[in-house]
Amino acid sequence: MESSNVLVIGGGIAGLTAAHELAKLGVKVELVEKEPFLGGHAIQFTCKAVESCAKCGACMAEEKLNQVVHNENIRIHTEANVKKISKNGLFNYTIQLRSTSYSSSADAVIVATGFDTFDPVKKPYGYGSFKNVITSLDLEKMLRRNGIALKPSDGMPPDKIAFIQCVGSRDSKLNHLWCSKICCASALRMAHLIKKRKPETSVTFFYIDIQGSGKDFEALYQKAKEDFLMIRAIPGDIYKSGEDRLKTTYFDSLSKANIENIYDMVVLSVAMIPGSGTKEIAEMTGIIPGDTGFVRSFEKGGISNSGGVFVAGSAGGPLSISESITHAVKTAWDASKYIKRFRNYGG
Amino acid sequence: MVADLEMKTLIIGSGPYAVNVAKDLLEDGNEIIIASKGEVAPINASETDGIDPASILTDTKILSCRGCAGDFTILMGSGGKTVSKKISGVVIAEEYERKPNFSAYGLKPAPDVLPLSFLTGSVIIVKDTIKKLPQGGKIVFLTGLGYESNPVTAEEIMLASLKLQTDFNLQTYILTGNLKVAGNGLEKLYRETKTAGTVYFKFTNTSPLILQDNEGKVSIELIDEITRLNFRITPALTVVDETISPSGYLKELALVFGLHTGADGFLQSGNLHRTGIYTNRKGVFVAGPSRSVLNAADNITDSANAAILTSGTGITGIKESKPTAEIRSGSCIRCLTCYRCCPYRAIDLDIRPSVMSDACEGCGICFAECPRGAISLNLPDNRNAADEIRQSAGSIKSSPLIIAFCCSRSAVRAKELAICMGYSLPENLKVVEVPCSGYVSMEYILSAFQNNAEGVLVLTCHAGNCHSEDGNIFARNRVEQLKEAFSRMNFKKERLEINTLASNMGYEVAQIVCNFENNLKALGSGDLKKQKEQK
Repeated sequence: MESSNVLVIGGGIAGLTAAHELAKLGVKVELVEKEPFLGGHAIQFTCKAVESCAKCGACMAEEKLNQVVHNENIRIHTEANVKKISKNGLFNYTIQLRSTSYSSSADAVIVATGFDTFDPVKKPYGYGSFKNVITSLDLEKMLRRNGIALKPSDGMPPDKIAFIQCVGSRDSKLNHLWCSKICCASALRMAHLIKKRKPETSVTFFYIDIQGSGKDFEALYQKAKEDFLMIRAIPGDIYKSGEDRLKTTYFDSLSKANIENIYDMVVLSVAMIPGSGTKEIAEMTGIIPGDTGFVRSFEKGGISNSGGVFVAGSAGGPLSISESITHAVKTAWDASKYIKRFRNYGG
Repeated sequence: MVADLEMKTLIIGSGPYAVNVAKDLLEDGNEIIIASKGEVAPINASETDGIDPASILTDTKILSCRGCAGDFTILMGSGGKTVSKKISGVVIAEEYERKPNFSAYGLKPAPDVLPLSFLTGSVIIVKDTIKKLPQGGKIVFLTGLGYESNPVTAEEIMLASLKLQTDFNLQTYILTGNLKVAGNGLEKLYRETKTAGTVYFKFTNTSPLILQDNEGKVSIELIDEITRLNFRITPALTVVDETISPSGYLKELALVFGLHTGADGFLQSGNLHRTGIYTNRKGVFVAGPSRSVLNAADNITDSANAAILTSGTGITGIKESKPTAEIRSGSCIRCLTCYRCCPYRAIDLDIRPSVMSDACEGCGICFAECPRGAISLNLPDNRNAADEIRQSAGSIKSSPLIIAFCCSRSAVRAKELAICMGYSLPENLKVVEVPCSGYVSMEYILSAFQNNAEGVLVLTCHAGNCHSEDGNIFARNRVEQLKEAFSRMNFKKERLEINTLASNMGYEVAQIVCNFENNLKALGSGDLKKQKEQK
């Protein structure tokens, strides 16, 4: 397989993992990332360990990045977009770089275009208008940078924080009929981290169903029920209260009353939605997006039926970091099997 | 004893999943043996899947495993005989155990009170119990009440409910706490069941009152938490969910193979360095229902990964030219400390213990723990920790001199990140990079103080995130013992600290080091002078 090449589209955790696995097998990889940096969402996430590792996987992004950057079988293009792919036995493709373009060919293509986060401007929570309404991704970055939560309005730590789950997930009006899987556990863990570092912080959680399972999760959830106010309802519109505080209202079925609360900061757990580049890449490579907009490689018929195009990681649907790694490893091997067994005969 | 010299992959499993793994492995051109503890072969493996019946050992338990990836010698008790096999790799693929949660819901099994497995899979349609139910009969599913369920169970219940609702014209109710839809397609399935007529009652602050009479008939009183209305259901059939737990046999296998288990008993501790089907022992893989509660798609991924990993270079991994530990036979007294503390099972016990270099990951726990100092381990790139400690005072002029032993996986990365992020670190900080904090012996820590360090930091991975599983725990124990000794010696114990970090904690590493420096400055140097005078 010495002369074989694979084009990996996307330099997030799945793309990095797939590239590294292929490079280990001696396959030459061309890795294309549209952003100026590698590591995707995961590299922006914070470590969520409180007393022990929370198994969030954020640190794995640093490790994968290091493995890929130092690998001579992997050629990396950042701020690059795939402009054209056509298949004639081989995949011929053109990559648009910052000021020039570049063409080459590959035996197989791995689509690792990942996910985007839902833009909550479409929801009545005042994101974009009220400074202290932030997304879970904003909070990840904030904690990674500063170690603690700070109100964007004045840079001071908030006393009262509310988390609103399922913003853009499990939403039939948006036709987003999926759970984004990671938000419950990661929001709970970030809340624990904030509370550990500033114990007087009060945290409220608005949710539909708390996701997550397993022994570790039971303990996390139990502690959440003790430390946070857990409210099984999704609040209505958020209004400004005073200088920079936020007013929410929800309907409490127990008392059959509207309950108003004032918070210093509201964190919206935004949905994972199909990556913006996914649709275009899917069209170029001939894979068909499902009705959710996420893409899958061969559903039936195995590798021989893939045509040489494979999907890795959360381009195929919401996954945690470690699930993404596991999936990308399998995808890389599928691609290598395809090259070995089918490329030379089918084409 | 029968010796068999062929190189094969051993699949340990007693159910259909082991057969799936075997199929995938055979398809990839591997030779296999299935060791099933059951009396009979897992389903009709030989007939349906082209598996040579001779390669299936029934009534077989694994007794011991010696050697390393590519060259294991496995002793098995098989039908009363002891059999020895040469094996290149092992895939553990035992099924789950499922226990119905009757008692959790205050119920006893009865003709119309059944466990969930009764309704899963393709057999549901032909069950007489279902056929006999009256049209429009009520079926109640009880799941995740008083404990947190999982998406695998939720999917089974929703699929069963959908089928009963659409194909049998029965009315289904799902009574649950948090409905676990964190799986591909589950939210959609949830909507489909609702459209088909399934009624959900979700409980947060209240619980349903479940009653069962002497004949086993169930009646349920509940408050719908959304409408606050009271309901009473007398189901024609009540279905209770099941606790999915690892096979009891896994505990034995963990001991035999030296594998780390999670809090829930599965053969992975959740350590992020072991994603997919990897375990702490090279060449031993754990797939599907032996590693976690996974859905069908994940089980298929695992099986495919097992097929790849057990062939070619997968077994041993890519050879890295990392230094490995060595035991000097003249100094070893066979206390077996190294065997007990090695997280990778890289110590072979023969006439005397020796390090299997293919299995050794070079963490250095054995080096630091050996009471005889009989183990040597070089650092990568011919670095020498002892020299680096000795030369610290010469290379760093500003004070107070801080020597920080940093794990190469976490703290070293975090320090580099801190610099990238623009945080400044003290000039008087000397970093000694170590492969794992488990390498940092008490001698090294003391040597740092002897070489004029005014403070010593051990910066290691968070508990549960050590690549060598317990390297950070060994380091912590040593630090705590030394701190206790310091406090008896009138030497300020605050001069030695251990902190945990992850590779992405740039901000925190800067904070830890700067706080430590401030603490040292506040301590003054009285106790240091006393030490020097004593010397």
